[in-house]
Amino acid sequence: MNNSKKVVLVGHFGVGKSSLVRRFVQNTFSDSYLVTIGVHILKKEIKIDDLNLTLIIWDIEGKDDIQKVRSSYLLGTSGFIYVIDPTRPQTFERFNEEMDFIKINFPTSKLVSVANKSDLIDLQEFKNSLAEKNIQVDYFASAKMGTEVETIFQNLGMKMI
Amino acid sequence: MFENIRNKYLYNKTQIVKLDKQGVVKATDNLIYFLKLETSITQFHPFFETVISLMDRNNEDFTFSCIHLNIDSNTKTVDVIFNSGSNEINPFIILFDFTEHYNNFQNIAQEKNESILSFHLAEIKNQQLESEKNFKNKFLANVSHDLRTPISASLWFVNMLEKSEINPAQKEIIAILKETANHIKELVDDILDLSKIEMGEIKIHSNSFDFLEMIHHIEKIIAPKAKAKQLNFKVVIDQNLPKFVFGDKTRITQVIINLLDNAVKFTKKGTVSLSISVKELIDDVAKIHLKIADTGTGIKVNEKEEVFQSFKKLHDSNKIDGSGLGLSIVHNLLELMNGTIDYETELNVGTTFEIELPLLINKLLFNEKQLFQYIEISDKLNVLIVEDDEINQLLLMKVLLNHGGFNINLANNGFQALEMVEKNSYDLIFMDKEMPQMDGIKVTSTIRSNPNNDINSIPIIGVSGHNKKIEKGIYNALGFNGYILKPFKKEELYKEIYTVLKLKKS
Repeated sequence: MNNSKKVVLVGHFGVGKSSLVRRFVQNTFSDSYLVTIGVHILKKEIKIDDLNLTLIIWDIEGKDDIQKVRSSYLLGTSGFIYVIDPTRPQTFERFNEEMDFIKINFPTSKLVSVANKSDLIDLQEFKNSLAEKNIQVDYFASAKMGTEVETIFQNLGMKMI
Repeated sequence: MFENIRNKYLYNKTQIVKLDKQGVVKATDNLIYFLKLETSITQFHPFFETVISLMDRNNEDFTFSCIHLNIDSNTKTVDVIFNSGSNEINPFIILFDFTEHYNNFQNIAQEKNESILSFHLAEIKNQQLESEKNFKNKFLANVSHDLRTPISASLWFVNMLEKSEINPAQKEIIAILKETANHIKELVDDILDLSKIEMGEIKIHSNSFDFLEMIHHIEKIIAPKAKAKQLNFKVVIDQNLPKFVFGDKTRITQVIINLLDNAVKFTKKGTVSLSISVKELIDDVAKIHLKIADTGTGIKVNEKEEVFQSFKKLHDSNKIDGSGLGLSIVHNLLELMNGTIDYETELNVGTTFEIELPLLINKLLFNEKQLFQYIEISDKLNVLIVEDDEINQLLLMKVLLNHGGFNINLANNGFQALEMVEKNSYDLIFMDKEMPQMDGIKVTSTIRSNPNNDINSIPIIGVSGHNKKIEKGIYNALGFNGYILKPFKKEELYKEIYTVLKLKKS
């Protein structure tokens, strides 16, 4: 059995994809913003029950439209993490369309959505505004505080096996 | 020759790695990374896990751009071509080192993304500020609105108290009470106005009005205030000023009164003046120039920019009242009316505000009023009104009595009219065309066929409620000298009388 799975983080630039990966893999965080160009690939092993699962995490450059992502980056992806920034509405204006695109074009892949930087907002107010827009986000995380980061990868891992 | 150039510039920029179907490195030139032979490619970097997953494809090329590969602390940004191999050939990988190119691109992308992020943040901040401002305005508008009712009630009771029997000491207290309540009311009104302006709730309603009449009205309000402070108050009006214009009379009045009130308030001695002229006239639009000058305390120069901002209280003197909202309201109202305001000031010399306000001239009314000239009739003329409807009788009588040149008799129907013309001498008859029993046309033709020349030649003006104009030739043929349709303006009626009686201004 192949015990490694490819996970790709997608979403607009500046939403904190790299920060989430760094928090998860290296347990570090930096406030300074460094643009990702191309892709950084890291791996981390997680344990699900008795199974060791290696996550090959592709931290790709941010795009406002997933269709603009180089298609080769998405080859063989088992799990997607779609990340938004709640402080910038532009990053989730087309949320449902983006999610639909992934579900249609990668039907066997698992998909979770994350609102990062949730330490910067009034969470309840934000959840209400998402409900008004008919947007359902799975996790409200903070790479800075470490909130929910482990859970996201762990749960996605469980979905993928 | 090419070989030399290639070796010099491209030699260590590419690397070819030959694999077996399990992804084990079988051969490589090691020009970028050192990859130990007989080692699974996945051992060098997790990127190659993807390569392994594509091994089952038959002789397919896959290109991956801009991959950051760190192998044994050697970090490069590379493009990768992977061929999945076939029965004939083994899989292989070609690496292209574009580190320098991508590093340059990284700097550009960093700059671009940072500026977009700053723009987004600024946009969000603006939205927040706007919503805070709206909240503030809404709050102020609600509070002001709620305060108005009790303040008005207090004022009403103070006024009642003032009229009751009170001694001089009580009178003085009530005067102070009244002044204070009035001041609070002014402040609350100002706050309400400004909040509404900032929320965009004040709309400009443009109607035709008499500009000169408005100025006279303002003069009547300000003159007593200036007099109470022993100030000269001058109003200078340019002769070319149009009388009737389209505009929001209430708001224009508010602007002028506000500035004049301020001028009086901040002037201890000297003169407050209002000059109005037409700066330019393009088509039917007159650019009205208003100058409000005082010899007052002036405005401190370092505050000049803040004069038209909300909630800036100018003039340090604590003896002078003012919320500081007035000028902001003036500025905002003028902006809504496409007008402008500027000012010159000198401390302890005075302040001059200059306004330019474009207003559309009401040419229709302007001409009508210009053409109409009132003619005085010194020897009163005897007039008979033949009209069955009491209200119409009253309306006609009122207009004729207002003129002052007529003695009036009334006939309620045609028969009575025919009797009255026989008995009295008339200079003019108003004949209602629509009457029961005998209509105006029948009565007129009977009068015209009277053998007595003094009777059959009495000028008759037909009056009709049917809103249908009829030609002069037709009503003349019916025996009428003139004709007027109800409802009519007094000027129209007078004009018809002057025409029929051939009266001219001497």
